[in-house]
Amino acid sequence: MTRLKFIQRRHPCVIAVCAFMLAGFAVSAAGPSHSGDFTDRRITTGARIFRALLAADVDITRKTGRDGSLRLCLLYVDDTGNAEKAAEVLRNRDDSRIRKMNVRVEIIPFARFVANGATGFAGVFLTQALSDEKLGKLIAYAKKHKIAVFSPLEGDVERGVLGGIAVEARVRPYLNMKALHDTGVTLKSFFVRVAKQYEK
Amino acid sequence: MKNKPESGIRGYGTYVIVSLAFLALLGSLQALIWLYWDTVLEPRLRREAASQADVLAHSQAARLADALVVADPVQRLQSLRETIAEALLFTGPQTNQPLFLGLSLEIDYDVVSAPAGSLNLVHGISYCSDCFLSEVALYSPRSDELLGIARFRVNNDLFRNLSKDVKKTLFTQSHVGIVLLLSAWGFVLILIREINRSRRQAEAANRAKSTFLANMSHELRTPLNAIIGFSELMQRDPDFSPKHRENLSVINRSGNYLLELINDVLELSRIEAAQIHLNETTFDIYEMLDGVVKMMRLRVEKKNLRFIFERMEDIPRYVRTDERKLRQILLNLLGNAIKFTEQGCVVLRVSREDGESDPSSELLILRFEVEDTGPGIPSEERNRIFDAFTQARSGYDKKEGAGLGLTISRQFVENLGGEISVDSSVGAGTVFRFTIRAVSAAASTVEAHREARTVIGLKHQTGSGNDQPYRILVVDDHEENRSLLRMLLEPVGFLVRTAENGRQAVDIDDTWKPDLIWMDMRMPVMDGYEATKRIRKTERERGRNRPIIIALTAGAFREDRDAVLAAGCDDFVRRPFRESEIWEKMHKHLGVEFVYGEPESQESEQTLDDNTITESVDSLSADLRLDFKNAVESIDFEKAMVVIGRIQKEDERLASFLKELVNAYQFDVLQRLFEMERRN
Repeated sequence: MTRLKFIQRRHPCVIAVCAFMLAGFAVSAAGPSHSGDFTDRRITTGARIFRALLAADVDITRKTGRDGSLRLCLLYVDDTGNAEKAAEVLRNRDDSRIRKMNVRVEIIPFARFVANGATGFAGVFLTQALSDEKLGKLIAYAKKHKIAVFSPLEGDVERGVLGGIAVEARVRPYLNMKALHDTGVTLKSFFVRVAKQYEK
Repeated sequence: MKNKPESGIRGYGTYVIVSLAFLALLGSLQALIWLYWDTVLEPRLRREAASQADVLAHSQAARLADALVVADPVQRLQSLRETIAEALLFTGPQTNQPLFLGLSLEIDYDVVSAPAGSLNLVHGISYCSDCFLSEVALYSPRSDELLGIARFRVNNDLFRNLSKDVKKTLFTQSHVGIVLLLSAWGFVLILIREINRSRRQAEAANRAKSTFLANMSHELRTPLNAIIGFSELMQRDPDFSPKHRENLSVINRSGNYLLELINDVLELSRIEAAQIHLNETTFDIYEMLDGVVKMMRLRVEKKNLRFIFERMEDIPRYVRTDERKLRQILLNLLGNAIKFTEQGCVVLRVSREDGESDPSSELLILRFEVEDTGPGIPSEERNRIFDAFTQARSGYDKKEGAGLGLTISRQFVENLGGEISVDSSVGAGTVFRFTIRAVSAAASTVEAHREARTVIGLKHQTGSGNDQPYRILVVDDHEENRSLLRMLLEPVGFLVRTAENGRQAVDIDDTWKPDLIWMDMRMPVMDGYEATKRIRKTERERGRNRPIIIALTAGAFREDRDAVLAAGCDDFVRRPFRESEIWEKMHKHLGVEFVYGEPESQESEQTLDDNTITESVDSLSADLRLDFKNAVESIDFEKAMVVIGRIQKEDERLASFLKELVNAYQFDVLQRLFEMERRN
């Protein structure tokens, strides 16, 4: 397998053509479900890393709601599908608590989240891609309320979201260090060390 | 002509250069492969191996995390140790070496309830310089909380095997490339060998041709020397009757005509062998052009054409260039123009092309134009007319010439540093234009043209600083050539001895001590080269007076001249020689002054103008005109001379003029002159 991979790298043109053909075949055979699977995996994996990130938040205990539980917001734009899947991962663990605190997962559309000036969330999990304008508003909100915004979607960390996932040979947390600094969220050094860091 | 063996450098030079090029190519290929390996492949393989190490390490993280969340501290520790021990047992499928060389844990005791440091286990090696370090986060399988970090030290064999495999593939491929390159090298060397062989064969053929030409030249010129020389000598004998002297004149002119023919053939051979050399002299170009015009005017007017000669005033009178070549170009172009023009005119223009530059500059570019109102040359033929043995359609129709005139002309123009071009329109005419480079010269530098006068004696009879006459040794293996020079020199007052070969010449030189030696260069027993060297050697060894040695050779090539001068000769005269050349060389080297007889009357050249000729021909009887026309049409020299003898009784001046034309083989001119149909 190793050698095969290497040969693939040495012959990028051939591999690119093959990949293009395979991708074409795959798209024609399976339609959009393949890319949907990929996003699903990022959502479910991202949800677990989101839990780890919240657990690594040094001040997480001070971010509970009135009922003593941690309110987690799952944001969507027009489709709750991804949010539902993430909610399932967040809720259905052997121990769904984070740092021994109960978790309350709320699925909220972006429009309502912004309109109502929703507050009191320990963390926000983005389940659908936002436009630059909407993402800007969300980041400003997180900065103002010092809460961690997490997006498993590719490219969002580079756009300013505090946390995400870096998919390489393994999956690692992905941190935007400037956003981390701006929002004032303090993470355990262990977590920062194992995460991939985006510095720009 | 000696055949030079191919020198070692020339013979092997190409092989060495090609081989060095291939070696450089091989070296470059090897260097590139190493560079590619060092800068591209190896780092990429290392990254690949590090990635594989990460994957391997990550695969063990879940088991370690499972062990960490065991509630019972004792069991947890036990489970951790077992998991680590098992991980350290894993071996690679190819190397059979452990995949993990060491493993250490760093635990977040805020999350894992255990005494601080109690679970920071270290197994295997904790440091190695060439193995991969892979840090893996341990997440709780229940709550996803980060429990700690596991550090795996992954065996470098992963990279070593990978690089070994790739290196093997890379170098196998490069060796295939090198083998192909070596094959190409061998192929190219074989190709060069074949090309060299072909070139040597071609050179050998060329040398054979040159040798043949040299021999032919010698064989033809040697008897011609006797014919021309003796006829000149006999013409001077007052005992001969005018009729006999006239016959001798015919022999002499025929010999000269034959000599010109041989010279033309040799000229073509020189062009083919790229052995044309410039023989620059300073001469009066006005006189030369006038001579050319004079030669052509008669032919032009016999065709009822007009001849216009325009020479710009800024042309300097005395120039230095190759007079013979320039004259031949003009004669070729004007001859063609006259030949192909049936009505209208032929124009010769001479101007200075560099007129706008400094007029006082010695360097000149002379421009010549030969224009005619002939049939013109079609555009499709214009590009080919300078090729050898190629003629325009009209040339074929005329069935005249071999198509070499323009080829020779172009070659000569290029030799003279110029260019030739042609502009023509069918039905309107043709203009040939050419330029040459020349140098303006002063009148004092012009070599005086000695009049063709008969030498009858010496002003001062003695040589060698004493009262003895000049001693001249004639060395030649042909009796007739020796006699010719003896008969030429003795009546003038020189003391002459002869030798049949070089050995005799050396002996006579040793004892008789001649002032000047006429040395034939090709002789049996000992040739002129060897004889000259021995004479020069003796002269150096004994410190005696140095005799002048002038080579006599029938060689056709300039190289012959270089060779005789290198052998020790002082000068060179090509056979067949003219009497005047012998006197000029003796004057030059011995400083002798000659006493000349009165020049012969040139009456026939200056008596008739063109109208008079036409009138004279018209006044001849019809029988004479018909007989002469028949003789001319059949190009019967003897018959023509007989008829001229009859004409002489009626018109002596016309007969003399016609005789000149017959002697000059101007049968075409004579033919047109006696064209009865046109006259009627």
